[in-house]
Amino acid sequence: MLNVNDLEIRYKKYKRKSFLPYLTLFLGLSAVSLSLFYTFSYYNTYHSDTNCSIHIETPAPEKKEQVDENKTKDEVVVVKEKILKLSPSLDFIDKMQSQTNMNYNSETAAQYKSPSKPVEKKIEVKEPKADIKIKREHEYDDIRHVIKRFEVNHSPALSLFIAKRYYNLGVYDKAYNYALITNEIDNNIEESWIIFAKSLIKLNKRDTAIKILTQYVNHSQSSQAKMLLDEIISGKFR
Amino acid sequence: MKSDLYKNSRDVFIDTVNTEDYIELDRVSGIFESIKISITKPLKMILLYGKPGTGKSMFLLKLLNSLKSSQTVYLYATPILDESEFFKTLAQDLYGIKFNGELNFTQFMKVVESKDIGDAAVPLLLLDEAQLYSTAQMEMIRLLSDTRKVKFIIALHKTEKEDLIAKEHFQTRIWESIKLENASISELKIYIQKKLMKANCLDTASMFSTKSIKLVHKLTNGNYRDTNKLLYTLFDIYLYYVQNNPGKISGSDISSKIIEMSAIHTGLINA
Repeated sequence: MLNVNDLEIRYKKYKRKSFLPYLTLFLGLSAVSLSLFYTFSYYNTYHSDTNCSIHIETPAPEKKEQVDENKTKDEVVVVKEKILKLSPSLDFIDKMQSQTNMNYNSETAAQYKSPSKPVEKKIEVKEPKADIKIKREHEYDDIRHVIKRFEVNHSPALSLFIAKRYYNLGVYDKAYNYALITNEIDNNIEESWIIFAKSLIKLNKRDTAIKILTQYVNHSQSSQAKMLLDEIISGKFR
Repeated sequence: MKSDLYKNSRDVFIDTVNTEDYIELDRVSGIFESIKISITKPLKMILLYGKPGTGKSMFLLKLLNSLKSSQTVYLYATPILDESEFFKTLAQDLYGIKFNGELNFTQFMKVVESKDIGDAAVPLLLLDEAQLYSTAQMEMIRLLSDTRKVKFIIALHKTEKEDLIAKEHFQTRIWESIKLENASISELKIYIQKKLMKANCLDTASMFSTKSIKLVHKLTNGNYRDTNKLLYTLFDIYLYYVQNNPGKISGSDISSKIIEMSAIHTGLINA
């Protein structure tokens, strides 16, 4: 006897079970990656200091410095700087400069003040857990670029793209505007009506969204729009 | 009406052995033609084996229908396990002799030896589910084939009688061993679509994308019987949804979710 409701429950259980190994693997890999990242960051921060000191003291090129001891301190600094550029650490030069600042007179230190400032900040930050915020300014640049293109050719595909991007970024008023523009250019684009209605919901205009979506569903018989309408009415979509 | 479409599509996959439901696939057609040619040769027996659900019974039925107009051929779809009943049935079918009492092997062999078939084609017996015959009965069948007055095509699941068949004295009597296998992905696609198109269910036939066929193949390993069961349940679920909750079936392709639900119901997925 086919009991579809029971089958649906069993299906959900089955899907959860089948995703569990992947989820476990993903969490495990994430944990390993994070720990490697923090370890590497900590290692980099710690070892860059010691590398500076090794390069200063031991290598053969420094013998040239001894030969050049009769030269001024400025020239010695320049020679050391050239040697230290061979170091593998990308921050090495800046860090060296900050290190050598301590050994020179105020005149030489003053020459390197401006580049050393950001380096000093890096040396001071020893905590492995730093908040990394990635600014998505380039996303807005993308939208602006598309807007410029839309202003030239008024393609509904572009205005729909803009509406969707704004919606995804949470800028619902602009998403609403561009969906409206798209509908005015071509009122047969289902996705545009979907974004339009969703934006209205997000802007707390539920009744308007229901009214407009109902009219669209009656006109187009769109199943997607119907599903969204049901979700809005039932409260699933807010 | 969509409900009629799904109902008809569902009924296409009722698991029966009926030559009207036979679907011709290139590989099996090749085997079929080769057997028809082999039968004309002085063979004793042909062995047809394969896993359950690979189409052996359907194959034998097709062979019966194809040959009965040109020669004496009988199909024993269900094994007759009682020896006496077996020989009495053979006597009736092959020679038109009705025995009222018991008939043992020795008595039957005397009847066979006394008959002269002349130039007529040697009668052919198709024995399905031969793994159910006892070892003694199989040995008697071997001895009958030695008389060259009866030919046999024996269909079985190889696992059951593997030891007996493998014995040298049996092996030498087998003219040809033919293995029927499960369908490949492309064969399964043809099988499903041809079955639906035969029943004029063109809409549902076109719903089967390569992705859904691959999923069905993965779940059933290409086994025809399992495929029939799975797709019967699949369309049963579609019928339920179209009558009770149409929102759950959107899109033009067969839903992977519903395939998996069917597999759970038929036991192909353990959930």
